[in-house]
Amino acid sequence: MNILVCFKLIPDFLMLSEQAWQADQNLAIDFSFAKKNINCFDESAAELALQLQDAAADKKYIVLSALTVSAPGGEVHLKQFAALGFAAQRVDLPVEIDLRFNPLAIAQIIAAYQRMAPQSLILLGMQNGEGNNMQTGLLLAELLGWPCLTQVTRISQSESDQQINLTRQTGQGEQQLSIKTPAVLVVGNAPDAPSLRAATMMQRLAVQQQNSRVYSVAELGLDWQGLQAKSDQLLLSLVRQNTRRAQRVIEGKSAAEKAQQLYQDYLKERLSQ
Amino acid sequence: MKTVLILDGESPSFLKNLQELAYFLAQSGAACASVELWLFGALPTDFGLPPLPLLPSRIQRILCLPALKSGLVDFCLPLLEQCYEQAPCQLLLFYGDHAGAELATRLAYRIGGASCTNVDSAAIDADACHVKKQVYGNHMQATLALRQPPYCLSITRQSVDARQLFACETPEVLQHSLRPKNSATAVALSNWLISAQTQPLSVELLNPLHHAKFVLAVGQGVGSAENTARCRQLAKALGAEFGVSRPVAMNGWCEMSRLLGMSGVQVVADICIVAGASGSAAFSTGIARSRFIVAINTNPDAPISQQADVLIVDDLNEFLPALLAIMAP
Repeated sequence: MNILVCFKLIPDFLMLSEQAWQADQNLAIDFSFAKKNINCFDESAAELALQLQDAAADKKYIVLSALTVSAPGGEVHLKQFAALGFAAQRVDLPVEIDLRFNPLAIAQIIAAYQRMAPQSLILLGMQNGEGNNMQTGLLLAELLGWPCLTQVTRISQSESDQQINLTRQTGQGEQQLSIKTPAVLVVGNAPDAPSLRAATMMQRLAVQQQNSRVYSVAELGLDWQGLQAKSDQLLLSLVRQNTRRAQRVIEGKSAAEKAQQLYQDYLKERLSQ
Repeated sequence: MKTVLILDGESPSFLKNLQELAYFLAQSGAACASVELWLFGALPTDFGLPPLPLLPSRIQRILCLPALKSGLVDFCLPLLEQCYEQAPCQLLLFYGDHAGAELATRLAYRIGGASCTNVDSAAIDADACHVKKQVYGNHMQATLALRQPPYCLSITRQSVDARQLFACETPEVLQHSLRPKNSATAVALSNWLISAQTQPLSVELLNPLHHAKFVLAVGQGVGSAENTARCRQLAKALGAEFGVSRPVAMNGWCEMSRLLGMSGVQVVADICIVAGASGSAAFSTGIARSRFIVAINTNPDAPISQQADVLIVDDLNEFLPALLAIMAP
């Protein structure tokens, strides 16, 4: 069973000072000096794939790959995936190409990869804080004509090779499903897989000299002009969100004194409305 | 411009969700020639529309579609496509839960439109649809133009002013009479799903936070599952709904339905007390629409302090019981 995990590298937003949150003439923010992390939901997706492999009677039956669309600079994360047993790959993203609000382009790239290297399951995290699109996995399912299961929290093997069992969280409650592959699984808040496990020293040493495979979109039969032209959204402006509030500080000698002041001055009237 | 509002008619908060969708439409400036409701699930025979904001056009028709099967969007998309083919429209609004975002995205793709999720507000006219949404972890606001109609938008929580709601006439309610157009498609759809079982939440647990007016939210500073349970009891005694940050939910200290934030519930509370949470951007998305925010934290420089109307520098384990002693002696 071939399983592809798609992941995105996200800048650590907390590393930016207030002054750095200024869009340039291309409506971009300079994150060049900010540390990048694997998007937390993509981490959960990767961890669920590894747990599926852990539980397999024959671990070699589950073949794991990881794919990201990014500019150069994420090698440490690709090495992390490789150390954990994924075939880690990157589709090169030129710096002048803006895909922040173009989830369809990302989906098309993943679909093109899937045609080249067929998979039984493609896992993605449900959202990332950068574009806040929440659409890549959904559009990928549309492009491939595959079923799409969202808010996935657990995956386990079924008795048959072409089936899997999964758990998803819905507004009505927890749902247990048994489905046929292939399928796109969009991973949500998964308490059983809150983060991607760390590789051991031995695992990291084993891949130290390996280089990750890097694809160009041309190798996947695509071109950047076409990918950008199909986007259904155009960014017009990007402005700093001012969320600061009054920040009145309640002073007092004790918790009881502060609680009294909070209730009398701020809560009592509001609660009575 | 013909507009359709699409919701789960069997959701416990269906009427309030409808008010928020209508409020969004009213604020968008869209010149709607007509407005319809397409609802999943059956309505009671004595159904009446709740008070709604003044819309450009009154709601002219309510179409009831089959209930969402197992909550799986794949099964209702072909029906929505048929509804659109029979009654094309330029603007389709979806409630901003996960199902709504999925429906907006996948339906727009199928009918050749443009979609956007997590939309805070929109400015729509005959020539353009511009939407605003939060990006970069709530640090920035983006304005995006959608390229071509039909526009499928799923919206974020709206803070509806009750003074802007008015009684309105309930139009004709129609039951759908559509059948899947392509029987081969119907067979293909049913082939991949082998079985589905849902462990339903009790009514009390269904969307407990969603329309709460008084919320007590705790973050990782709560420290343990036991203390989380204690704070939950305190919230109940205070008369507040209980919410948690992502670390608390992911530690398994509380059920996921209590998660506040970018990937959880976004409350529109009158009062939100936040205790022991640093105030990450993702969590802040969950509370930012609250009218009044109180932060309790031992660190006066925690990011949450900038998002609070009132800040109390203290230990939540001392402050919350002290507050309870005053509010519920």
